[in-house]
Amino acid sequence: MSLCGCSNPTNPGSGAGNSSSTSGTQSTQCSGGGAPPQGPAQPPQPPPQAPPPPVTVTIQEKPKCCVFVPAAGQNSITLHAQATPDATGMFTWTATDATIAQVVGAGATATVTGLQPGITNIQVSYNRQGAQAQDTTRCIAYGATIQNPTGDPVNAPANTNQFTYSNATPGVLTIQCQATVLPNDPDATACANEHLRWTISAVGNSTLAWSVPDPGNAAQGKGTNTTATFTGLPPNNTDFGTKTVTLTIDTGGVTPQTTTIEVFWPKAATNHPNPGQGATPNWYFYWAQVIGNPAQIRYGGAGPGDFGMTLGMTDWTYAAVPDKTLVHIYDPAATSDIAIPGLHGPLSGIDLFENTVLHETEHTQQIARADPVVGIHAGTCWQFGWSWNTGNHNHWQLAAGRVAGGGGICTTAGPGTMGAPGSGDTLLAAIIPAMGAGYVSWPAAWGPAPAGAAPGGGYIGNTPIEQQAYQQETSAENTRARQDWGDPGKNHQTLNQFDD
Amino acid sequence: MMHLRILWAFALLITLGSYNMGRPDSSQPGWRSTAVQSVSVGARPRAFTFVQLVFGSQWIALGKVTATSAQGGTPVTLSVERSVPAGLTGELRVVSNPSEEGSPANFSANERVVLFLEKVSRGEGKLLGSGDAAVWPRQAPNWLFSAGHVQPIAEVMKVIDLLVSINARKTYEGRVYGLVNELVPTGPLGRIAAAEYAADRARWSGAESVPDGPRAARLLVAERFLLTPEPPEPTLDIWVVQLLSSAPSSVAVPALIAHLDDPEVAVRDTAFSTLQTQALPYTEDKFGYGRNDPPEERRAAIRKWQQWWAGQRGACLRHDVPRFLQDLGSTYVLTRRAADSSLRLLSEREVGYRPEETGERQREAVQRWHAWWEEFARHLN
Repeated sequence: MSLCGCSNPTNPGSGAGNSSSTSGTQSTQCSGGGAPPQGPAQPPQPPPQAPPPPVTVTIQEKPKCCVFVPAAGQNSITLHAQATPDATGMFTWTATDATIAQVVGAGATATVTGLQPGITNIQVSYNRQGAQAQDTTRCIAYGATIQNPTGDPVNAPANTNQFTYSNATPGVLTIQCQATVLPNDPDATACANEHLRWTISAVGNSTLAWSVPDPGNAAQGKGTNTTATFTGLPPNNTDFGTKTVTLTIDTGGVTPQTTTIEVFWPKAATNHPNPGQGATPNWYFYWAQVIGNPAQIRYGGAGPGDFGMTLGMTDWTYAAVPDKTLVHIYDPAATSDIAIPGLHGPLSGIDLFENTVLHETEHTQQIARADPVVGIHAGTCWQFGWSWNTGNHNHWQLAAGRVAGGGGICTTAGPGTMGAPGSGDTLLAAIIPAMGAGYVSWPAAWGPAPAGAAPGGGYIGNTPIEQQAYQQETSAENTRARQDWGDPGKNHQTLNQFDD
Repeated sequence: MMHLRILWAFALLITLGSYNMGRPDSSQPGWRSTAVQSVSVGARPRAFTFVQLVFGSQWIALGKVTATSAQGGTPVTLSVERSVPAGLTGELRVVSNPSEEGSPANFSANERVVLFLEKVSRGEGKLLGSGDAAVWPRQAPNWLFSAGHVQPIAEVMKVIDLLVSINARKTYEGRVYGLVNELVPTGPLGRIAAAEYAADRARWSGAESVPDGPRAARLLVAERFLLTPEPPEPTLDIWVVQLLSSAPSSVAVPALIAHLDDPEVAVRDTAFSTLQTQALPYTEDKFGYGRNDPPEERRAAIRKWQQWWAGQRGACLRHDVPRFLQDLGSTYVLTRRAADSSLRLLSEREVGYRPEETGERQREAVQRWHAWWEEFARHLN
């Protein structure tokens, strides 16, 4: 442009990162002022043109702006320029490095799209009536990926993708969420710290708090490194297991990154919600739910070494009998057992637990089936029904004329003369040749005793009564494995391994 | 009243008798058809493996019963001839758990027995039991006294001594050698003990660390039984199929499918549970198999498993065999041995590879394995 014999000097503009608000204000001032023309008179000249008023332009997003570069798709931000004396001129937006950010101007605003992680200057030139001004801002195109948690908790289990509540009461679960940011630059990190947002699936009603929360939404974490803390184990076994950790940005508009984790309860601790907090171990509390919370089971602690016991059978006496409907489950039921020849293979963890319950429950049902054979009769040796685990048994029907409850016949102290030679009493138990004549525990009313099912023809568990209970152990190993969210357990570390 | 809290209560009594393939009867030494008034019911006991008994005992005592309880159960008095570890001598009063009043242990005077003792103090030993041994009649789920497993007492002591000796070795290589070359040849009890030992993860602690050592050790013991089949023995097979859980799929899957029709349900169940661990993530289908299904239904399901495997075998071999070939050059003898063993099992041939050797002969053997694979791979679908 050549106007009035003087060229319009190039506006020096402002350097990258120049944060001065005065940058861009050096508009060209090319007026008609100066020395009058010399020489002969000239025809009248039109009045001199008024110099254009000075202009300024300022990018509002200074000294820097942040635009996220997602792994897939695109993300954009809007920059705003403010011009004086008005915005009627022309705005021209450019990026110094067009491979990092794409800038599309629309008057006083521009849409900036991050193309790849990096840093570039973005400049706006404002031209009004020949006056020009410029401004720049530093644009951080940053990328972020989930650094932690990481890995596939099923096929590559590790402490970066499997997390367990603490043993304390209430139990605490911490999951550190970290992002890797590109470029490796303090400004990029600052952008990420400002804009990254984390969410994590709920763990039932466990209370979630973030070490660096989103000020606008406490349910979200903020920044490149924030830790989710869940406090208090939730009540349901189904509350545990697979969860999703999500990384996104505060403005939305990008496809969130996700990673899968698994959440576990500590197997031996007792910090589950009530009932039984502090008393029953977590494995008992949560596994019982998996098998339908059977009403008849009770936790019995370490126990005598057995997996389970039906005290109404093992502790039956003529003087007293524990609750016949209850089954006690002991700590070994959470461990493992070797194969039972003739029956099933090895059992472990939650599957051993379930089969123990099935086994012992059958004993309670055996009691319920046997008691009606003799009846429950107060004041007699049948006051507690069919006797168990005592050689001095009450499995008789008295002969006509013989009355229970006195005269040494079936008193509360014991059977007395029941079954004595010549008494005429009738044995109510089946004689099983394989068990010998002394075995009188199988009620004849149940029908013939089954054959022994152990290899060689013996009874599994030594007796037909025990064999019947063993044969209720019908849930195969690992049937419940995918529902075991204990640490250690069958989803933790090695799949189907109960003790890691 | 008899309270049988079985785990801590029962004696494990090894009778002096012959290897008995039929149901034990009163003619067998140590057997009596003593009538008992009742047998305890109502508890689900833990069963111990033989290896667990050996290493769970403070003392193992061999001796002669000099006095028995009037009721036939404990206490008994044992005149100790020797013990493992050494040091237990003289007369020992043996009791079961105090709560086990009247448990029918059925010891006989002058009977020579091996007792596994949970602890011994002040001349009194407390029995550690299997939950069924020594319970009348001496026939139970536990293998030691189930039909076919009444062992000569000398063999039992030999196996115990070997187990203790092998367990003291510091390297995986040494322990595997002991299990396969020393323990297995002693007989049925040795074979079972070797498989049990290999499968027991706790037993391998204390050995020198070798990358992936436990897996290689278990694989080598399992492959010993696959390469040289023994007489049918359910108790052994149960452990062998468990060991296959750490074997490469190309080795494990066909062996496990073969056991799905085993006559013994516990073997079938164990094989299927191991097969599921290996294959279910890929099949996502059990193909209708049920361990207790009628034989025809079971075999129909097995045919589906076989068809599935026929479609997988080529890819599986292409994945596994190159890894075996690479492992032939491993720094670790155990790894080289496992690789050679797997190749022999898959190829049904021997190429003269010696894991413990180095040099030209070994290089030539490795080349022969490569040549075999090149030829074999051509015919894979």
